[in-house]
Amino acid sequence: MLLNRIEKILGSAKFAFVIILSFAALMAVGTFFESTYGTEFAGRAVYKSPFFMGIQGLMLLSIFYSLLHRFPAKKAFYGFYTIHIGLIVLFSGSFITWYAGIDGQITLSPGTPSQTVILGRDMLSIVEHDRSEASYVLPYTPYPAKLDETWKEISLVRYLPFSEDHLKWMPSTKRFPSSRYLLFNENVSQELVMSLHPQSTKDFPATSKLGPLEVHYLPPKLLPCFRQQNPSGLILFDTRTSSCKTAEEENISLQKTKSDKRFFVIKGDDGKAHSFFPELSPWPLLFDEKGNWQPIKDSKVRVFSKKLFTEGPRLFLFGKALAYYRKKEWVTKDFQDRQIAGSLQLPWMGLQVQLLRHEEESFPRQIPSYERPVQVNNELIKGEQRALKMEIRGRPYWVTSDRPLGLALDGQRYSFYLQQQTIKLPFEINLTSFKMDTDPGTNNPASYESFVSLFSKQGVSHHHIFMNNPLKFSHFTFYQASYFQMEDGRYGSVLSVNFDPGRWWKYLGSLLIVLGSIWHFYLRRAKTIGIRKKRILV
Amino acid sequence: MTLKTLLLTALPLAVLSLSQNVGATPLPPDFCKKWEDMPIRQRGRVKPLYVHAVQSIKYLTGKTKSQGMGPLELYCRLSLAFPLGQTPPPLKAPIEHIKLQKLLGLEGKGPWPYPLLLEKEAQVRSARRQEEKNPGPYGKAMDRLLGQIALYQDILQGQNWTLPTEGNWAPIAALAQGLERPLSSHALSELLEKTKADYLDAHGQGHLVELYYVKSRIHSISMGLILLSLFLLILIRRPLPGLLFAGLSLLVQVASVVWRIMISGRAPITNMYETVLFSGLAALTIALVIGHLRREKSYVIAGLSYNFLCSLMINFADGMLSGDISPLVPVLRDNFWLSTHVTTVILSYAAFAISWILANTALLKRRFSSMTPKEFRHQADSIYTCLKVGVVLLAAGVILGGIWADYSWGRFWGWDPKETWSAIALCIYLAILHGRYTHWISDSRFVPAVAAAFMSIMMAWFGVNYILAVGLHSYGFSEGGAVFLMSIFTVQALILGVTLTRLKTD
Repeated sequence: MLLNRIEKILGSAKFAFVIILSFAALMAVGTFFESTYGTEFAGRAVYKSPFFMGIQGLMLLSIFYSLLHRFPAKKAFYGFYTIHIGLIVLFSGSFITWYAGIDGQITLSPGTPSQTVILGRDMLSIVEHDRSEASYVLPYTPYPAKLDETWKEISLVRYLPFSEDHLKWMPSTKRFPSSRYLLFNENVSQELVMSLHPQSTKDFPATSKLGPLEVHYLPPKLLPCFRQQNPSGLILFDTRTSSCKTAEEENISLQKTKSDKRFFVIKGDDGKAHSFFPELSPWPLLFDEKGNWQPIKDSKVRVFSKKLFTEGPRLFLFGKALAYYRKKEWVTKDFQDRQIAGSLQLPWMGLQVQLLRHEEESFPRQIPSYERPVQVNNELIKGEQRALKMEIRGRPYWVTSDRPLGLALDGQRYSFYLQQQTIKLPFEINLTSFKMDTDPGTNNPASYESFVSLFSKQGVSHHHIFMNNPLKFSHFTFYQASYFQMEDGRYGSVLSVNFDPGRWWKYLGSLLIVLGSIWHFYLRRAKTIGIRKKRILV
Repeated sequence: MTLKTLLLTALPLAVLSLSQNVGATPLPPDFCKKWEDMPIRQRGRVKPLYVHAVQSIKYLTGKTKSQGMGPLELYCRLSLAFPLGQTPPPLKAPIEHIKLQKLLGLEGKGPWPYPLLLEKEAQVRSARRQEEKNPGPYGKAMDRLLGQIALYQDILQGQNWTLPTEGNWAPIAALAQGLERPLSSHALSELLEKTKADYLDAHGQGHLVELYYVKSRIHSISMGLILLSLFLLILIRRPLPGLLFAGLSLLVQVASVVWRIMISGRAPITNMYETVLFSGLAALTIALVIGHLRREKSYVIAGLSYNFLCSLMINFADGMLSGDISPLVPVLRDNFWLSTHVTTVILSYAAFAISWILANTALLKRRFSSMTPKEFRHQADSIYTCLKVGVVLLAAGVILGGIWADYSWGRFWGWDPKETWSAIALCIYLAILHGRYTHWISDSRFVPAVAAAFMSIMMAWFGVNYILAVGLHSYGFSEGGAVFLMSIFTVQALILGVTLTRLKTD
């Protein structure tokens, strides 16, 4: 009884009216989401969300029961039957595509065969020595998701489908300098975070390049030696005492090789003589009989030649002080003895530098946090990074789409990659050449064309793919999707790869819908004319 | 004008005229007129100089005349000013955006002379860099100004006017370098004559079709005919004279579309201008067919009214709709799919547009004039007829789009905003039809619902490009238009508000 009632409701035109409008309203929300947050967010939040799928499911039920209610067949409903059967066929085709279809992209660099197709879902991949150990497909959600997966001692904790890195200062057990600076002039302003802490150096390296300007972050203990205008320009740094001395202070006698290379010899902590060649290496060098040399990297003393850094704009930062070479002498300046200090003038392009923060007991880290994406001019300007939080022996680690993670666990070296799910094609495809024609006299592309070779069990075949001319091979279809320019100036090509077992169902459904609509309206028109005639006769 | 501006303008001229063209004769008054049919290659196409001059001067100044000179005269004198050491015609650009006016330290929209704007170019460029990610009106206003300045400089330096030479194209400034000094208008004339004759020998006069099209004022003629037929149909009881003029207007519009096809070599439905043009023609055709079948002139009046609105936009909304014929993006270079998918969709829009006009007419007539329930029911029946045509065509159009997308991009449906909004519009009309079948939606609800539903078509047609501005259908994107769309939404809301208030109080 209840079932009959539910079936009646589901098959009613009123239910259809409500469900069609709900479907339309959700689609409208999706388009505004796409405009604001980007295609990926809209897909995750609306179009491929379970709720939206549910609405489509209800629509299918509505179509099915509306058909059922209009049987046994009547001539007046022939058009109606055709439309609604067409819709069911179309939905079935879409379901088959969703369930069994493949829709991905293959990136081809010229002369490099590939068979890897990138799909849309995010995946964590764990690799040990180039051998895949495990992989986890991550949830298709627009919002942060809690995870409950473990692999060996590793727990997957949280997945952020859209994230941005944020600077966080973490407490440190050992003292290492880390600083945040602001470099600016009238036109540009750039923040710079630099650290010597071992856990920071990946996120915030001690050397950075800002246009032509090179910036080096050095231990503050080196500063006293930069303050001295020692003619040799050589500084010896003792890692045991973390102290520096100039070559002049150590009374080191400098000699020259036949090829005019400076060198000196001192007694090393192992009691042996160590030969330093400051212009070749900071470590002492060990020569074999053939004259080849290798550095002695466990030496406690290293040499630093200031003369190597006198060309071009180079800035040396020592936490609360800086140094640069100008007009044949080394200039050192101190920031004010406060954390937020006034700015210091640099001799290049009106640049000034300001120390914003200096820490020795904490270190900076890039910690991802969820950021709803922002799209401008069809491009994501925020939130493009994906991030995954893992816990290993109680310690948190982040792996992001931009930064893979490398870890040693019980003597094994593992790499963690957050990347998109991939599949391998049963054949290889190689880009022979890529051709882009432009409209005459302009740089506007007029056509993109890929010339590819296919290596399969049947042998090698050559194909030409361009817009509106895809390649069909072994149930797969390849479409010209995009292109990119490589560093060497050559062009690579991006092809859409598609396997769609629901295609013909969708075509058949579409045909039935259109023919059914025409039939339906024709039959209704005949009915209306009949009613009108009857009215006239009455 | 500041002293600095004067110096900036005068100095290069002085230097040039002193160094290169001492004694150069000024251009004779009728020098430029004879080059209107000169071929020029710009923006990827060969076209007559006159057409390019109209497009360029309109872009630079917002109008086609200045200082009593037409576009060809202005373009020609601006291009030859440096090679001949002449003073360029004083072109000015209006600056509409208030924030941009403030940035440049200008009071009001102007128009402002280009030498002054040239002086401020670095300032605009620097501001644009700071607002690199600004997609809003301010960013667009800066982009437009920078584009105008770049074009002005390009023309002024004689780089924009290209001439055919030995199978290639070269700027007039470069070709003029090879002429004897002092450079004279006679020598220039000879150069232009020769290059033109060479081009005509090699390629014929095909490019002149566009010149005749632009100069024919065919769209103004068509608008006049539409207006005349509308008056005749409304004011004269006998429909024949009005129908004759409607037929004549249809023929003129078909001729204009065929003309565009001859020029571009493709279906004329590749940008907003062309879809508006085609939808007006389609609406009139559908209205004449249904009107003939149903023996009712109300369809023809509705079709003509919509056609007139389209014609107004074609003739006057050139800020929003550009009539320029440009090369297509690669994906659209398939005449079969372009002609079937886009044509079907635009035909459906046209059918819905007739229903929209009929619905609003019924609502307004019932509110402000007299309309018996029987007449209202009859009108609802007429609207329903248009809806049926529209729904079948839109469903077919969306499906054809899916098949094209499957063929070109490898997926039948990709939730691209354009295709999604087409599906939304289809769903809305289907919901209305379902509601009407169940008698949930009576005639008094059906008519305003149809009027409102057309806003979903406006959203699919214009809104995706002007408001959402995302997706794969980016070749239809253009500047501005959001104001136009919001105005349409507001007017429709007002009509519904006013007419439905009456309904409630009744």
